[in-house]
Amino acid sequence: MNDITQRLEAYPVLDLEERAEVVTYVQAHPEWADRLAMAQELAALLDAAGPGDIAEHVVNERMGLDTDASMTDALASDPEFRAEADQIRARLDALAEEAEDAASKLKRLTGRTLDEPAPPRRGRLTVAEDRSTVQPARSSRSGRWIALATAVVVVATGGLYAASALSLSDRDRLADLGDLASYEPLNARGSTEDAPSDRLDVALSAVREAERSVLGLFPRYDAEALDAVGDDLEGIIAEVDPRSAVSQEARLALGRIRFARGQDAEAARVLGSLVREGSYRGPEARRLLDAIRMGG
Amino acid sequence: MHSDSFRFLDRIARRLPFAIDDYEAAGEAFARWRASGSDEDRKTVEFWAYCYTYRYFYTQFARERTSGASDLDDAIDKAYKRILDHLEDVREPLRFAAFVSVICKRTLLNHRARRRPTTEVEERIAPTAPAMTAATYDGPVIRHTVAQLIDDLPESIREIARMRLIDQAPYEHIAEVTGRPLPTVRTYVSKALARLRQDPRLRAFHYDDVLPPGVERGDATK
Repeated sequence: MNDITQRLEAYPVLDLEERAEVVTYVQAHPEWADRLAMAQELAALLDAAGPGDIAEHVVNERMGLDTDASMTDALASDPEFRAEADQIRARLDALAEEAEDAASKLKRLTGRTLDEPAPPRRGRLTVAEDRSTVQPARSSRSGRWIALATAVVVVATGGLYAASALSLSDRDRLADLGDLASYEPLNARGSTEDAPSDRLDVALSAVREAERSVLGLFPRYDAEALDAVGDDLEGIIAEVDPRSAVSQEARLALGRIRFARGQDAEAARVLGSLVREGSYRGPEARRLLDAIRMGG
Repeated sequence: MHSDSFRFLDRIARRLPFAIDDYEAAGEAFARWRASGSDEDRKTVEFWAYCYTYRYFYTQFARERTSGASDLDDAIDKAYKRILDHLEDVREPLRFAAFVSVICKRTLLNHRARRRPTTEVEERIAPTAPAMTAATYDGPVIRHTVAQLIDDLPESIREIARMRLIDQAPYEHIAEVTGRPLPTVRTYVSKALARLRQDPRLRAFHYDDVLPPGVERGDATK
């Protein structure tokens, strides 16, 4: 092989057979081994830049990230491909189920949770912190009373919230409209679909307005207001690409609202479309569909 | 329930002020934390790296049949700790995504190397085989970077480079579509390759440029 230099330069764009010839040549001429290793590193990088595979697609789907539309199309039209994806989904779900859950791991590794503020900084105390540590003796009696009063309030509040949660019907609990009301906008995730995602945000913020409760306890939803949100969502769904994140979020939200309102046929229609299309919202849609089949 | 972790990661992703695959924004967030030192900025960096690490290892382990959940936990723990331990040492803040990617890839390679003695001899990697295959790289971040590099190539070779390097079209097809003679197409692809080979944004994924001093090549877990 006289042109080994050129072949190594072009190695990343050679086909597999040509690459194998180069490797065979270098095995007999080890003085080229370092150059081959460098060529193979670049080749591996460029190979990785090729189209994504099913594993990538399934992980994105499960993590609620954008999926490749061409992969979704391929899955919809090819039963063998779909079967392969199902196998990978099953394997991934089994791994995730058996592994430490992501919330506990984050807390263990960083001390952080999603809902709590960051842990206090270590180091010198601030003036305010300093004061609180030098005056404990004087305030210890009143501190005990404050602690006792706080405990009573916490227990009472906890009881009220527990009673509030128990007062929800099974349907309301499954539909979890409270979660829908605190929906976090797609725009915060870097979406570029400004207008439809804005409309989705507005529609879902109306779920909060449909809530009737005192201090967030014993929530009930105004049926008319919920139906109006459902109609808005239908309008958005009709206008956007079914593969877009906006469509998938809107369909899941619509399914949850229709389910909560007892409109099972409507809920099944919209949730079924998410499952059939292999949407990243498919697992949640399937959970509600199961509830519909079992009579809510 | 298996979806608990997925739902949690989805919630973290929603908290981020940018998408997980917005690698430039991740680099800017990292640079912002470096400048401000604020805990809120650090939290953004940690959350992004956490989602990235999970996505990487979920994808790698979903492809395998032999590793279990404890291997997955172990790999994520090692990679994420390694990332956190070296946040202060990253030399190129704007290439933070490449740094995280290198740590994840090396952790995976070390994990596989530790398991190798238990595999059959014929399954072992031959001495001249690549030290790392395409599958160990994180496809989305590499794809994004290569597309960006090709966009930055001179206009005359950009389209041909994209057709050959991204779409993996045969030379003959490219020559036919572009109306260029076959030798010209080959020359243009060679020029594009030469530029990519030297580009620090791509080198960051397989050389040690982004690793901090004291970290030895090929070892991301010590």
